[in-house]
Amino acid sequence: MSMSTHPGTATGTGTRPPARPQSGPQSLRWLMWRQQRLTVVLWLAVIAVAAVAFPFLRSEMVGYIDSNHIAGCAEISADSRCQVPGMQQAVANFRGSYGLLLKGIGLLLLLLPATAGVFVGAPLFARELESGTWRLVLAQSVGRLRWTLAKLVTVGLIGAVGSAAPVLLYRWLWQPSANDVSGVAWSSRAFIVSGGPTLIATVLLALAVGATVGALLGRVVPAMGVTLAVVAALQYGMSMVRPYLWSGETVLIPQSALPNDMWGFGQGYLRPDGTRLPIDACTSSTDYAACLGDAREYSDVHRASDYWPLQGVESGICLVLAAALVVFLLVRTRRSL
Amino acid sequence: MTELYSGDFGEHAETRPTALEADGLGKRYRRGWALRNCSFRLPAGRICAMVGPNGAGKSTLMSIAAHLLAPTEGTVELFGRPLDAPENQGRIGYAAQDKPLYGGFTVAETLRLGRDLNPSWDQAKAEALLAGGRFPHSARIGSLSGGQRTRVSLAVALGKQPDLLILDEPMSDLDPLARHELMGLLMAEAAERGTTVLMSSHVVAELEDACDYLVLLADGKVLLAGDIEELLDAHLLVTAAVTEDGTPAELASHQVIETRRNGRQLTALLRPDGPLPGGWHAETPTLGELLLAHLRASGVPALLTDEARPAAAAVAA
Repeated sequence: MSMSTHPGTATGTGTRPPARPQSGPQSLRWLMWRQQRLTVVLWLAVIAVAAVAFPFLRSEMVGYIDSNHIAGCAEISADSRCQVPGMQQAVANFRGSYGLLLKGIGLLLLLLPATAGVFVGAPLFARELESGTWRLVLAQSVGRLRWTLAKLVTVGLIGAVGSAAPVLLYRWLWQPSANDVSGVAWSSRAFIVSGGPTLIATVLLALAVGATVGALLGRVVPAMGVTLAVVAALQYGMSMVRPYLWSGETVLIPQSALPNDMWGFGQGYLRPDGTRLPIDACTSSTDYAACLGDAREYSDVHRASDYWPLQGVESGICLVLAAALVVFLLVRTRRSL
Repeated sequence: MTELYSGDFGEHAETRPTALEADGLGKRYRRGWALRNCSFRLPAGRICAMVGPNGAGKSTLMSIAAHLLAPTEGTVELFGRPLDAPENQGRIGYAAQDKPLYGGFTVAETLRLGRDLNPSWDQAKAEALLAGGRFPHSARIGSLSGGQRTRVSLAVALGKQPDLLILDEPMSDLDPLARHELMGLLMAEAAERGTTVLMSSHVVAELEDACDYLVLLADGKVLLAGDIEELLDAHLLVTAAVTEDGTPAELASHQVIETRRNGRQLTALLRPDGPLPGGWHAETPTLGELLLAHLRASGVPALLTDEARPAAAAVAA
């Protein structure tokens, strides 16, 4: 038998390390990183691709707009500057190529909350419960409240940074052709969530939903399914109430004639006395003109200046819901022992 | 001031501080009570075997003691304080029966987890436990056999250097050689640091060598608890040739746990109360005989030695 001296356990009493080495407060940092590193690396790769591709794409778009002098021009524009022959065709061409791509990226980003909720949120606790590994961690010198909080903060950070980056990149890509040239208006389905803080807040809410469902169900696959359904329902519900989150105004412009930077979310006919008729009030009437009388077509709209208030309210709702779920999880963790 | 400590305390020849004390502990699952009115005391420094048939509540009791499961009723105290007292943070090492580990981690990463999460971690001790396992630290947990995972699980529990080590079926999937080696390391560690050990097992032989304390659970209740020698001494295995059927009248003054008849020979395990009648051959039972007799019998009153009685219950009595 060889007598090898271990560097850490030298025989001399003078060099003997203390029986209880003080390595500072117990750190969950490495464990949190170790458990999420695959997600982080994969997502960093996706962001890196976008960070490389978007500048090229953007400069191409800017080049096209400049060379055709179509900045600020829509397909149908009242601006005389835009009514030069060939310009409308140039805008149409832009919309058919870059515009579609821009729209596609925005719609793809709408899937980010559900993706995060299903693949990061739902397994967060469900996998630990399913495999019993929560007992391994909690049998160490770390309180369950701290562990729960550390896990939530970790995925919260990943979710916030991981969605802020694509939001900023997408917003930057969108800017040169905003509203008019691309036809992707600030209020469009492709942009209103994906291009602002609302996406970040929605991702955080989806993560909280996933974590909560996972903690309640304790099994990964069912938790993923339920999370997907809940997040989809939340996003759909939000899209329904979104225009009403901030007060709009009524303009006497038909919906079809609204400028691209106005978001029309309601329409009908307005009588001089202020009463409103639905848009189809007279469609079945035999005498259309008599039915309408002196009522004029109106639109309920948000101007571009409503963008930030709308973003603020929707983000706020998502964050409050997410915070409520986090508090529920922490209280539940505390009460379960 | 010394008067304060005389009296009650005088009953125990040696009063050790309490490591674990369960008082009226109960746990109800949806299917019923897994543990009911369970009370015992485990003095510090003891190596305690927790024995009982499947479903007796061993794992439930250990999970509660490891602060991983909330009891439905009753309390557990650790070193004289409630389980969740800040002083008790990190004092328990626990290896669950199914040895949960992260399958995607390597062995080294699993040790890193232990090192990061425990201020009292001793890397050398954990590595010493793994040394006999003949697998590299770079191996993924998911690629290890059941016995190898058990070894890693024990290494994490021991590396933490706990004051109370709770091991649920620690040796169940180890080969006899590894079993012997790990039990040896475990006992050496307990002797060196004065660690209290509570371990459950089905293998009586394995416990007999290592343990000096016993808690026998049956149907969620404590049937026997205390120092093993003391418990054995409180029982007698008596044998005599008997003609009549049933339990002989001359044994009636004793608490008969179980009788077995082999031809004309009757063997009884009893808790003697006074002198035995003549003609009976008496000997102290082995641990195996004691356990089997108690598990086969029904309606046997519980026996807790003075040492094993919780302080609260002792005061009430």
